[in-house]
Amino acid sequence: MLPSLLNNSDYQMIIDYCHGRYGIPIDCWKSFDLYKRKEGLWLVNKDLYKHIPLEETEGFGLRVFSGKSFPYKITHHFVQVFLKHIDKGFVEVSEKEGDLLLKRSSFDIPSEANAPKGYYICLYKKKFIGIALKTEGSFISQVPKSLTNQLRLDLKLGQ
Amino acid sequence: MDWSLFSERYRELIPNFPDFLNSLSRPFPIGLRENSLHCLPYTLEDKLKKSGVSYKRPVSSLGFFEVAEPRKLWGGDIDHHLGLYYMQALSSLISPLALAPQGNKLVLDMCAAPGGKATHLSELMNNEGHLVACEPDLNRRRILKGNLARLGVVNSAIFPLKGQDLPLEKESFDYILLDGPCSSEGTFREDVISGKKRRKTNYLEYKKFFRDSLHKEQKGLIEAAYYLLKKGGTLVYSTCTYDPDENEGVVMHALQKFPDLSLVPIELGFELNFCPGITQYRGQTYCKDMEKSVRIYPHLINSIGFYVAKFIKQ
Repeated sequence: MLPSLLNNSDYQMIIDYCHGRYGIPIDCWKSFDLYKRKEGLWLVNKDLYKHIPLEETEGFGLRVFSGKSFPYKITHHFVQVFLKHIDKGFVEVSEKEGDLLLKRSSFDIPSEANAPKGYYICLYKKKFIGIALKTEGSFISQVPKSLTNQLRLDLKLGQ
Repeated sequence: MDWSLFSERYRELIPNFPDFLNSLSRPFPIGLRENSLHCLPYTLEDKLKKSGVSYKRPVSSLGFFEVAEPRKLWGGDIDHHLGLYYMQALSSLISPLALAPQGNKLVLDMCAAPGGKATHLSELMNNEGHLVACEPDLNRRRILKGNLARLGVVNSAIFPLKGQDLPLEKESFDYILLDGPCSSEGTFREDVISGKKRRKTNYLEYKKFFRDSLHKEQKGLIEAAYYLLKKGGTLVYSTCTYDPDENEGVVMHALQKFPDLSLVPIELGFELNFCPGITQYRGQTYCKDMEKSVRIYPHLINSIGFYVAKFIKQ
Protein backbone atom coordinates (compact mmCIF):
# COMPACT_ATOMS: atom_id res chain seq x y z
CA MET A 1 0.00 0.00 0.00
CA LEU A 2 1.39 3.37 -0.99
CA PRO A 3 1.64 5.91 1.79
CA SER A 4 -1.00 8.62 1.65
CA LEU A 5 -0.81 12.00 3.27
CA LEU A 6 -3.56 12.45 5.83
CA ASN A 7 -6.05 15.07 4.68
CA ASN A 8 -6.48 18.27 6.62
CA SER A 9 -9.65 17.32 8.48
CA ASP A 10 -8.28 13.93 9.60
CA TYR A 11 -5.01 15.55 10.60
CA GLN A 12 -6.86 18.21 12.57
CA MET A 13 -8.88 15.51 14.33
CA ILE A 14 -5.63 13.82 15.45
CA ILE A 15 -4.13 17.12 16.61
CA ASP A 16 -7.26 18.03 18.58
CA TYR A 17 -7.43 14.54 20.08
CA CYS A 18 -3.80 14.66 21.21
CA HIS A 19 -4.28 18.14 22.64
CA GLY A 20 -7.35 17.12 24.58
CA ARG A 21 -6.12 13.70 25.66
CA TYR A 22 -2.41 14.30 26.29
CA GLY A 23 -2.08 18.08 26.42
CA ILE A 24 0.24 18.24 23.41
CA PRO A 25 0.27 21.85 22.18
CA ILE A 26 -1.18 22.28 18.70
CA ASP A 27 1.97 24.13 17.58
CA CYS A 28 4.02 20.95 18.08
CA TRP A 29 2.53 19.49 14.92
CA LYS A 30 3.31 22.29 12.53
CA SER A 31 6.66 20.84 11.48
CA PHE A 32 5.23 17.36 10.77
CA ASP A 33 3.08 15.49 8.28
CA LEU A 34 1.17 12.30 9.03
CA TYR A 35 0.93 9.51 6.49
CA LYS A 36 -1.44 6.57 6.53
CA ARG A 37 0.50 3.47 5.64
CA LYS A 38 -0.18 -0.21 6.34
CA GLU A 39 -1.91 -0.33 9.72
CA GLY A 40 -0.89 2.94 11.23
CA LEU A 41 0.03 6.56 10.95
CA TRP A 42 3.60 7.62 10.33
CA LEU A 43 5.04 10.89 11.49
CA VAL A 44 7.63 12.54 9.29
CA ASN A 45 9.02 16.04 8.91
CA LYS A 46 6.89 18.34 6.81
CA ASP A 47 7.06 18.38 3.02
CA LEU A 48 9.19 15.27 2.58
CA TYR A 49 7.13 14.42 -0.52
CA LYS A 50 8.30 17.62 -2.19
CA HIS A 51 11.89 16.40 -2.12
CA ILE A 52 11.74 12.67 -2.74
CA PRO A 53 9.47 10.17 -4.50
CA LEU A 54 7.87 8.48 -1.49
CA GLU A 55 6.56 5.58 -3.57
CA GLU A 56 10.16 4.46 -4.08
CA THR A 57 11.02 4.50 -0.39
CA GLU A 58 10.73 1.51 1.85
CA GLY A 59 10.01 3.46 4.97
CA PHE A 60 10.20 6.87 6.53
CA GLY A 61 9.69 8.62 9.83
CA LEU A 62 8.22 6.87 12.83
CA ARG A 63 4.98 4.99 13.36
CA VAL A 64 3.29 7.01 16.08
CA PHE A 65 -0.19 5.48 15.88
CA SER A 66 -1.26 1.95 15.09
CA GLY A 67 -4.66 0.72 13.98
CA LYS A 68 -6.83 1.13 10.93
CA SER A 69 -9.06 3.99 11.97
CA PHE A 70 -9.67 6.61 14.61
CA PRO A 71 -9.23 6.36 17.58
CA TYR A 72 -5.75 5.01 16.95
CA LYS A 73 -3.48 3.42 19.52
CA ILE A 74 -0.48 5.53 20.46
CA THR A 75 2.86 3.77 20.10
CA HIS A 76 6.08 3.83 22.04
CA HIS A 77 7.46 6.15 19.33
CA PHE A 78 4.63 8.59 19.94
CA VAL A 79 5.83 8.93 23.52
CA GLN A 80 9.44 9.08 22.32
CA VAL A 81 8.70 12.12 20.13
CA PHE A 82 6.20 13.98 22.28
CA LEU A 83 7.03 13.06 25.90
CA LYS A 84 8.43 16.47 26.71
CA HIS A 85 5.15 18.08 25.62
CA ILE A 86 2.77 15.59 27.25
CA ASP A 87 1.24 16.87 30.48
CA LYS A 88 -1.74 14.55 30.97
CA GLY A 89 -2.89 11.05 30.13
CA PHE A 90 -0.29 9.56 32.49
CA VAL A 91 -0.82 6.99 35.21
CA GLU A 92 1.74 6.23 37.89
CA VAL A 93 1.88 2.48 38.51
CA SER A 94 2.96 0.71 41.68
CA GLU A 95 5.53 -2.08 41.69
CA LYS A 96 2.78 -4.72 41.50
CA GLU A 97 0.92 -2.92 38.73
CA GLY A 98 4.15 -2.34 36.82
CA ASP A 99 4.97 -6.03 37.09
CA LEU A 100 1.56 -6.93 35.63
CA LEU A 101 1.97 -4.34 32.89
CA LEU A 102 5.28 -5.90 31.89
CA LYS A 103 3.76 -9.37 32.01
CA ARG A 104 1.31 -8.01 29.42
CA SER A 105 -1.59 -8.68 31.76
CA SER A 106 -4.50 -6.49 32.81
CA PHE A 107 -4.52 -4.72 36.17
CA ASP A 108 -6.63 -2.33 38.21
CA ILE A 109 -5.57 1.01 39.64
CA PRO A 110 -8.16 1.86 42.31
CA SER A 111 -7.34 5.58 42.28
CA GLU A 112 -7.99 5.68 38.51
CA ALA A 113 -11.23 3.68 38.59
CA ASN A 114 -13.24 6.62 37.27
CA ALA A 115 -10.69 7.77 34.71
CA PRO A 116 -12.03 7.90 31.15
CA LYS A 117 -11.39 5.02 28.75
CA GLY A 118 -8.47 5.24 26.37
CA TYR A 119 -4.73 4.79 26.09
CA TYR A 120 -2.59 5.83 29.05
CA ILE A 121 1.14 6.43 29.36
CA CYS A 122 2.38 4.39 32.32
CA LEU A 123 5.16 5.67 34.53
CA TYR A 124 6.98 3.73 37.19
CA LYS A 125 9.06 5.88 39.53
CA LYS A 126 8.59 8.65 36.93
CA LYS A 127 10.10 6.49 34.19
CA PHE A 128 8.01 5.75 31.10
CA ILE A 129 7.61 1.98 30.93
CA GLY A 130 4.75 1.40 28.54
CA ILE A 131 1.24 2.08 27.34
CA ALA A 132 -1.98 0.60 28.73
CA LEU A 133 -5.54 0.68 27.42
CA LYS A 134 -8.20 1.47 29.99
CA THR A 135 -11.46 -0.28 29.25
CA GLU A 136 -14.48 -0.58 31.56
CA GLY A 137 -12.54 -1.11 34.74
CA SER A 138 -9.08 -2.47 34.06
CA PHE A 139 -5.94 -1.34 32.34
CA ILE A 140 -4.73 -3.72 29.62
CA SER A 141 -1.02 -3.77 28.88
CA GLN A 142 0.06 -2.72 25.38
CA VAL A 143 3.78 -3.17 26.00
CA PRO A 144 5.54 -4.91 23.08
CA LYS A 145 6.60 -8.45 23.92
CA SER A 146 10.15 -7.67 22.83
CA LEU A 147 10.62 -5.16 25.66
CA THR A 148 8.89 -6.84 28.56
CA ASN A 149 11.57 -9.19 29.89
CA GLN A 150 14.37 -6.68 29.68
CA LEU A 151 12.30 -3.95 31.29
CA ARG A 152 11.32 -6.24 34.17
CA LEU A 153 14.95 -7.16 34.72
CA ASP A 154 16.07 -3.57 34.53
CA LEU A 155 13.41 -2.32 36.93
CA LYS A 156 13.72 -5.40 39.17
CA LEU A 157 9.96 -5.90 38.98
CA GLY A 158 8.43 -9.18 40.15
CA GLN A 159 11.71 -10.54 41.53
CA MET B 1 46.32 -13.60 11.33
CA ASP B 2 49.48 -13.47 9.24
CA TRP B 3 50.59 -9.84 9.32
CA SER B 4 53.46 -10.19 6.83
CA LEU B 5 51.52 -8.90 3.81
CA PHE B 6 50.05 -6.13 5.91
CA SER B 7 53.46 -5.13 7.29
CA GLU B 8 55.06 -5.21 3.91
CA ARG B 9 52.41 -2.88 2.50
CA TYR B 10 52.10 -0.36 5.31
CA ARG B 11 55.44 -0.27 7.17
CA GLU B 12 56.56 2.87 5.37
CA LEU B 13 53.11 4.49 5.42
CA ILE B 14 52.05 4.36 9.06
CA PRO B 15 54.11 6.33 11.59
CA ASN B 16 55.66 4.35 14.50
CA PHE B 17 54.77 1.12 12.77
CA PRO B 18 55.81 -1.24 15.64
CA ASP B 19 53.51 0.68 18.00
CA PHE B 20 50.77 0.45 15.42
CA LEU B 21 51.18 -3.34 15.13
CA ASN B 22 51.15 -3.68 18.92
CA SER B 23 47.93 -1.67 19.10
CA LEU B 24 46.20 -4.22 16.86
CA SER B 25 46.58 -6.92 19.44
CA ARG B 26 45.25 -4.73 22.22
CA PRO B 27 41.49 -4.64 22.77
CA PHE B 28 39.70 -1.45 21.88
CA PRO B 29 37.17 0.06 24.25
CA ILE B 30 33.44 -0.16 23.76
CA GLY B 31 32.07 3.26 22.90
CA LEU B 32 28.61 4.54 23.73
CA ARG B 33 27.34 7.61 21.91
CA GLU B 34 24.53 9.29 23.77
CA ASN B 35 21.49 9.95 21.61
CA SER B 36 20.30 13.47 22.30
CA LEU B 37 16.92 12.68 20.67
CA HIS B 38 15.92 10.26 23.44
CA CYS B 39 12.99 11.07 25.72
CA LEU B 40 14.31 9.59 28.95
CA PRO B 41 14.44 11.75 32.07
CA TYR B 42 18.15 10.98 32.70
CA THR B 43 21.40 11.15 30.78
CA LEU B 44 23.80 8.39 29.86
CA GLU B 45 26.30 9.79 32.33
CA ASP B 46 23.64 9.59 35.10
CA LYS B 47 23.11 5.95 34.18
CA LEU B 48 26.82 5.11 34.18
CA LYS B 49 27.37 6.85 37.51
CA LYS B 50 24.36 5.13 39.06
CA SER B 51 25.44 1.70 37.88
CA GLY B 52 29.00 2.24 39.16
CA VAL B 53 30.57 1.50 35.79
CA SER B 54 33.97 3.05 35.16
CA TYR B 55 34.01 5.15 32.03
CA LYS B 56 36.11 7.67 30.17
CA ARG B 57 35.16 10.64 28.05
CA PRO B 58 37.94 10.89 25.47
CA VAL B 59 36.53 14.22 24.23
CA SER B 60 34.83 16.21 26.97
CA SER B 61 32.62 18.17 24.56
CA LEU B 62 31.13 15.00 23.04
CA GLY B 63 28.41 12.83 24.57
CA PHE B 64 30.64 9.82 24.00
CA PHE B 65 31.73 7.40 26.70
CA GLU B 66 34.22 4.55 26.67
CA VAL B 67 33.34 1.67 28.97
CA ALA B 68 35.08 -1.55 29.84
CA GLU B 69 32.10 -3.84 30.26
CA PRO B 70 31.06 -6.63 27.89
CA ARG B 71 29.51 -5.57 24.59
CA LYS B 72 26.65 -8.03 25.21
CA LEU B 73 25.68 -6.23 28.41
CA TRP B 74 25.29 -2.88 26.66
CA GLY B 75 23.41 -4.31 23.69
CA GLY B 76 20.92 -6.04 25.98
CA ASP B 77 20.37 -3.10 28.28
CA ILE B 78 16.89 -1.60 28.36
CA ASP B 79 18.21 1.92 27.85
CA HIS B 80 19.76 0.67 24.63
CA HIS B 81 16.30 -0.49 23.53
CA LEU B 82 14.83 2.84 24.59
CA GLY B 83 17.30 4.77 22.45
CA LEU B 84 19.51 6.32 25.11
CA TYR B 85 22.72 5.41 23.28
CA TYR B 86 24.28 3.76 20.26
CA MET B 87 27.33 1.51 20.51
CA GLN B 88 30.01 2.92 18.25
CA ALA B 89 33.74 3.45 17.94
CA LEU B 90 35.11 6.95 18.49
CA SER B 91 36.54 7.04 14.94
CA SER B 92 33.06 6.50 13.50
CA LEU B 93 31.92 9.79 14.97
CA ILE B 94 34.39 11.80 12.94
CA SER B 95 32.71 11.65 9.52
CA PRO B 96 29.25 12.91 10.65
CA LEU B 97 30.95 15.57 12.78
CA ALA B 98 33.09 16.60 9.80
CA LEU B 99 29.99 16.85 7.60
CA ALA B 100 28.23 18.93 10.31
CA PRO B 101 24.82 19.04 8.61
CA GLN B 102 22.45 21.80 9.60
CA GLY B 103 18.78 21.11 10.30
CA ASN B 104 16.20 21.95 7.64
CA LYS B 105 18.48 20.74 4.86
CA LEU B 106 18.38 17.70 2.62
CA VAL B 107 21.06 15.22 3.65
CA LEU B 108 22.06 11.91 2.06
CA ASP B 109 23.74 8.95 3.73
CA MET B 110 24.71 6.88 0.68
CA CYS B 111 25.64 3.66 2.50
CA ALA B 112 23.56 3.96 5.62
CA ALA B 113 23.40 0.53 7.31
CA PRO B 114 23.68 -0.36 10.11
CA GLY B 115 22.75 3.21 11.00
CA GLY B 116 25.38 4.49 13.44
CA LYS B 117 26.31 7.43 11.27
CA ALA B 118 22.76 7.94 9.94
CA THR B 119 21.36 8.27 13.46
CA HIS B 120 24.24 10.55 14.38
CA LEU B 121 23.49 12.75 11.35
CA SER B 122 19.86 12.96 12.36
CA GLU B 123 20.92 13.96 15.85
CA LEU B 124 23.23 16.66 14.47
CA MET B 125 20.27 17.90 12.37
CA ASN B 126 18.21 18.01 15.57
CA ASN B 127 15.74 15.68 13.83
CA GLU B 128 14.89 18.51 11.40
CA GLY B 129 15.10 18.64 7.61
CA HIS B 130 15.24 15.35 5.73
CA LEU B 131 17.76 12.53 5.85
CA VAL B 132 17.75 10.08 2.95
CA ALA B 133 19.34 6.72 3.80
CA CYS B 134 20.28 4.18 1.12
CA GLU B 135 20.86 0.49 1.69
CA PRO B 136 20.32 -2.16 -0.99
CA ASP B 137 20.72 -5.24 1.23
CA LEU B 138 17.50 -6.43 2.89
CA ASN B 139 19.05 -7.75 6.09
CA ARG B 140 21.23 -4.72 6.60
CA ARG B 141 18.22 -2.50 5.87
CA ARG B 142 16.24 -4.24 8.62
CA ILE B 143 18.98 -3.36 11.10
CA LEU B 144 19.07 0.21 9.77
CA LYS B 145 15.31 0.60 10.18
CA GLY B 146 15.45 -0.82 13.70
CA ASN B 147 18.17 1.59 14.72
CA LEU B 148 16.48 4.64 13.19
CA ALA B 149 13.26 3.78 15.03
CA ARG B 150 14.99 2.89 18.29
CA LEU B 151 16.78 6.23 18.37
CA GLY B 152 13.58 8.18 17.56
CA VAL B 153 14.62 9.45 14.13
CA VAL B 154 11.65 11.17 12.52
CA ASN B 155 13.38 12.90 9.60
CA SER B 156 14.55 9.86 7.65
CA ALA B 157 13.44 8.13 4.46
CA ILE B 158 14.94 4.79 3.47
CA PHE B 159 15.60 3.77 -0.13
CA PRO B 160 16.23 0.07 -0.83
CA LEU B 161 18.80 1.03 -3.43
CA LYS B 162 22.48 1.61 -3.96
CA GLY B 163 23.47 5.25 -3.64
CA GLN B 164 24.28 5.34 -7.38
CA ASP B 165 20.73 4.30 -8.28
CA LEU B 166 18.85 6.92 -6.30
CA PRO B 167 15.93 8.20 -8.43
CA LEU B 168 16.57 11.86 -7.67
CA GLU B 169 17.57 14.81 -9.78
CA LYS B 170 21.14 16.06 -9.90
CA GLU B 171 22.16 18.59 -7.29
CA SER B 172 19.43 17.61 -4.84
CA PHE B 173 21.38 17.43 -1.59
CA ASP B 174 23.01 20.02 0.65
CA TYR B 175 25.12 17.44 2.46
CA ILE B 176 26.25 13.95 1.51
CA LEU B 177 28.03 11.35 3.61
CA LEU B 178 29.71 8.59 1.65
CA ASP B 179 31.02 6.07 4.15
CA GLY B 180 31.35 3.47 1.47
CA PRO B 181 32.20 -0.21 1.24
CA CYS B 182 35.88 -0.79 1.92
CA SER B 183 38.32 -3.50 2.93
CA SER B 184 37.73 -2.61 6.64
CA GLU B 185 41.38 -3.01 7.59
CA GLY B 186 40.84 -0.43 10.32
CA THR B 187 38.72 -2.91 12.25
CA PHE B 188 41.56 -5.43 12.67
CA ARG B 189 41.60 -5.12 16.44
CA GLU B 190 40.61 -7.48 19.16
CA ASP B 191 37.22 -7.17 20.75
CA VAL B 192 37.62 -5.86 24.25
CA ILE B 193 36.13 -8.79 26.13
CA SER B 194 35.73 -11.82 23.90
CA GLY B 195 39.28 -11.67 22.60
CA LYS B 196 38.03 -12.64 19.15
CA LYS B 197 39.60 -11.03 16.14
CA ARG B 198 37.02 -8.97 14.35
CA ARG B 199 38.42 -10.09 11.01
CA LYS B 200 40.07 -13.39 10.28
CA THR B 201 41.34 -12.56 6.83
CA ASN B 202 43.20 -9.69 5.35
CA TYR B 203 41.90 -8.40 2.09
CA LEU B 204 45.47 -8.10 0.82
CA GLU B 205 45.28 -11.88 0.51
CA TYR B 206 42.25 -11.61 -1.75
CA LYS B 207 42.55 -11.83 -5.51
CA LYS B 208 43.36 -8.69 -7.45
CA PHE B 209 40.03 -8.61 -9.25
CA PHE B 210 38.23 -8.31 -5.92
CA ARG B 211 40.28 -5.30 -4.92
CA ASP B 212 39.91 -3.74 -8.35
CA SER B 213 36.14 -4.15 -8.28
CA LEU B 214 36.04 -2.56 -4.83
CA HIS B 215 38.02 0.47 -6.06
CA LYS B 216 35.73 0.73 -9.05
CA GLU B 217 32.66 0.72 -6.83
CA GLN B 218 34.15 3.37 -4.55
CA LYS B 219 34.89 5.60 -7.54
CA GLY B 220 31.38 5.03 -8.92
CA LEU B 221 29.87 6.02 -5.58
CA ILE B 222 31.91 9.21 -5.24
CA GLU B 223 30.98 10.21 -8.79
CA ALA B 224 27.30 9.64 -8.00
CA ALA B 225 27.72 11.67 -4.82
CA TYR B 226 29.18 14.54 -6.82
CA TYR B 227 26.22 14.63 -9.22
CA LEU B 228 23.69 14.51 -6.36
CA LEU B 229 25.39 17.33 -4.42
CA LYS B 230 24.18 20.91 -4.80
CA LYS B 231 26.61 23.67 -5.69
CA GLY B 232 27.96 24.98 -2.40
CA GLY B 233 27.16 21.62 -0.79
CA THR B 234 29.43 19.50 1.39
CA LEU B 235 30.54 15.93 0.78
CA VAL B 236 32.40 13.75 3.25
CA TYR B 237 34.07 10.58 2.04
CA SER B 238 35.23 8.11 4.66
CA THR B 239 36.42 4.53 5.00
CA CYS B 240 37.64 2.32 7.81
CA THR B 241 40.77 1.24 5.96
CA TYR B 242 44.41 2.26 5.62
CA ASP B 243 44.71 1.45 1.94
CA PRO B 244 45.71 4.58 -0.06
CA ASP B 245 44.04 3.15 -3.19
CA GLU B 246 40.71 3.24 -1.34
CA ASN B 247 41.33 6.57 0.36
CA GLU B 248 43.56 9.16 -1.30
CA GLY B 249 43.24 7.27 -4.60
CA VAL B 250 39.45 7.66 -4.67
CA VAL B 251 39.63 11.28 -3.48
CA MET B 252 42.22 12.07 -6.17
CA HIS B 253 39.98 10.47 -8.78
CA ALA B 254 37.12 12.79 -7.76
CA LEU B 255 39.34 15.90 -7.69
CA GLN B 256 40.71 15.16 -11.18
CA LYS B 257 37.32 14.37 -12.68
CA PHE B 258 35.44 17.28 -11.10
CA PRO B 259 37.46 20.53 -11.03
CA ASP B 260 34.74 22.34 -9.04
CA LEU B 261 35.26 19.93 -6.15
CA SER B 262 37.86 20.93 -3.57
CA LEU B 263 39.14 19.52 -0.32
CA VAL B 264 38.70 21.59 2.83
CA PRO B 265 40.18 21.13 6.29
CA ILE B 266 38.26 19.09 8.84
CA GLU B 267 37.51 21.31 11.81
CA LEU B 268 35.75 19.61 14.69
CA GLY B 269 36.20 22.10 17.52
CA PHE B 270 38.34 19.68 19.54
CA GLU B 271 41.75 18.12 19.17
CA LEU B 272 42.47 14.49 18.36
CA ASN B 273 45.75 13.02 17.27
CA PHE B 274 44.97 12.76 13.55
CA CYS B 275 47.58 12.22 10.83
CA PRO B 276 47.22 14.11 7.55
CA GLY B 277 46.31 12.34 4.34
CA ILE B 278 49.36 11.29 2.33
CA THR B 279 50.69 13.00 -0.80
CA GLN B 280 52.70 10.12 -2.19
CA TYR B 281 52.97 6.38 -1.80
CA ARG B 282 54.82 3.79 -3.84
CA GLY B 283 55.03 5.76 -7.05
CA GLN B 284 51.61 7.35 -6.71
CA THR B 285 51.53 11.10 -6.18
CA TYR B 286 48.51 12.84 -4.77
CA CYS B 287 47.92 16.58 -4.58
CA LYS B 288 49.17 18.72 -1.70
CA ASP B 289 45.58 19.39 -0.59
CA MET B 290 45.32 15.72 0.36
CA GLU B 291 46.90 16.75 3.67
CA LYS B 292 43.55 18.33 4.52
CA SER B 293 42.07 14.85 4.80
CA VAL B 294 42.78 12.86 7.96
CA ARG B 295 44.00 9.39 8.80
CA ILE B 296 43.17 7.82 12.14
CA TYR B 297 45.48 5.17 13.53
CA PRO B 298 44.67 3.04 16.57
CA HIS B 299 48.04 3.61 18.28
CA LEU B 300 47.43 7.38 18.20
CA ILE B 301 43.68 7.38 18.94
CA ASN B 302 42.43 4.39 20.93
CA SER B 303 39.80 3.32 18.42
CA ILE B 304 39.64 1.72 14.97
CA GLY B 305 41.50 2.90 11.87
CA PHE B 306 39.71 5.45 9.69
CA TYR B 307 40.13 7.89 6.83
CA VAL B 308 38.01 11.04 6.34
CA ALA B 309 38.05 13.64 3.55
CA LYS B 310 35.77 16.66 3.27
CA PHE B 311 34.89 18.37 0.00
CA ILE B 312 33.03 21.50 -1.01
CA LYS B 313 31.42 21.74 -4.44
CA GLN B 314 31.98 25.26 -5.85
